[in-house]
Amino acid sequence: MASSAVLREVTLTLPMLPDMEIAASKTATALAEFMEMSSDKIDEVRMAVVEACINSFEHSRADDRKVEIQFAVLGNDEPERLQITIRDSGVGFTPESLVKPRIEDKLKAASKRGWGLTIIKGLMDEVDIHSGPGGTTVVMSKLR
Amino acid sequence: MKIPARHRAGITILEPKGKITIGVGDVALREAVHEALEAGSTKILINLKDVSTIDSSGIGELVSAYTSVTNRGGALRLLHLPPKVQDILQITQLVTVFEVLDDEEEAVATFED
Amino acid sequence: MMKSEPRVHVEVESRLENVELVQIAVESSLAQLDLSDDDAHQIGISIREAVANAIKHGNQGDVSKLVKVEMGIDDGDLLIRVHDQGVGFDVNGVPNPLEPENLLRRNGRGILLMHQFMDQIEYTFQPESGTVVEMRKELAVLRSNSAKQQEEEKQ
Repeated sequence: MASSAVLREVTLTLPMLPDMEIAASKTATALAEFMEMSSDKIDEVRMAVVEACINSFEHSRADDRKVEIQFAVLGNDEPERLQITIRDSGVGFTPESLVKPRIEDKLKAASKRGWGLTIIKGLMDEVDIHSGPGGTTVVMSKLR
Repeated sequence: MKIPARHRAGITILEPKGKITIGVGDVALREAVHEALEAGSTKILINLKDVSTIDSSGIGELVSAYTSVTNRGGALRLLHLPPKVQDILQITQLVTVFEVLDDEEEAVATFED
Repeated sequence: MMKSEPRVHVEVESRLENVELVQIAVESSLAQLDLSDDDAHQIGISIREAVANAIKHGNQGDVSKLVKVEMGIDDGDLLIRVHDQGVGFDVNGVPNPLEPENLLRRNGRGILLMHQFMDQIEYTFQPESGTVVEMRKELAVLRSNSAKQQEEEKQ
């Protein structure tokens, strides 16, 4: 009956340190390969995971300096999807406070970063963001 | 993942690549040896040149392949051990069990009598 | 307890294909330590063996039971803990794989490899929570870092 049974689940907790996002993206890649996702889609997942982790590392200001990443392969009814939940206990933000970056402004700005959420939404099939004083949770998924 | 096999002078040469570890290459190795035996080949040479990692599970498969082949009156030998595999065979003292060769011509010749 | 953060945690269900996954996660999070190729290989094999044992013998392949791996730096050592939720297993019950009569057995070499590659291994079993295998490895690169740190703290 239920269409989104969890076929496989892995939780990874990483310290917010340089290059730790690679551990997250490699784990995502391995799971996506296990699902036999196409290599183009795997690249997109990998980039989205890196973006989401770096966003959290750079902006969350979480006291525990940790990010928890949950990977779940969901399926039963075809097609399967890979759902990735990235959670920190930082200061959070309100979605309204984020002005959608305009490329003209970005090109002029000193920092070329800050594209995170826009990029993630473009790379994944579904992205859901919950953020508040208790932290930020990004739930994103990609169909196989 | 299927392990490529070549045939030469009545010898089946298996050439696994990458990992022979639990859940990755161990079952593939077992199947490849089984297939060779089913096809009537009892002279098996496993070329480990491109194997990056082997764990206790992979070692277990090598040992059990060795026993199955030997039990059928055949011979199983190893070719081109990378240092990491060599190290693990040393620790498990299986260097005393396996005949290990560094040269394919020489290895093929050892099967000739 | 592991005194010094940061640590990496990985939690997986008891499926054999997760051995590879844990290994990938751990290996890539160690990348920033700049380990030698040999150290990385030895740590990788030890983690594989410990996780495989936890899945097969600890949790006895019960998918609903989890295996948790914690990794951190403690006192200049790399410290790895592998937890299972099983009923415990008798490490000493494994026949010595180096005895001539055991050389041709298929199984039983995992613990030997772990002992060979890590400097210290300790098993703790608690009926309510399962087995914890704690492995330590002295790493030159960590020792020199922690010495530097102590030096800085003194100043």
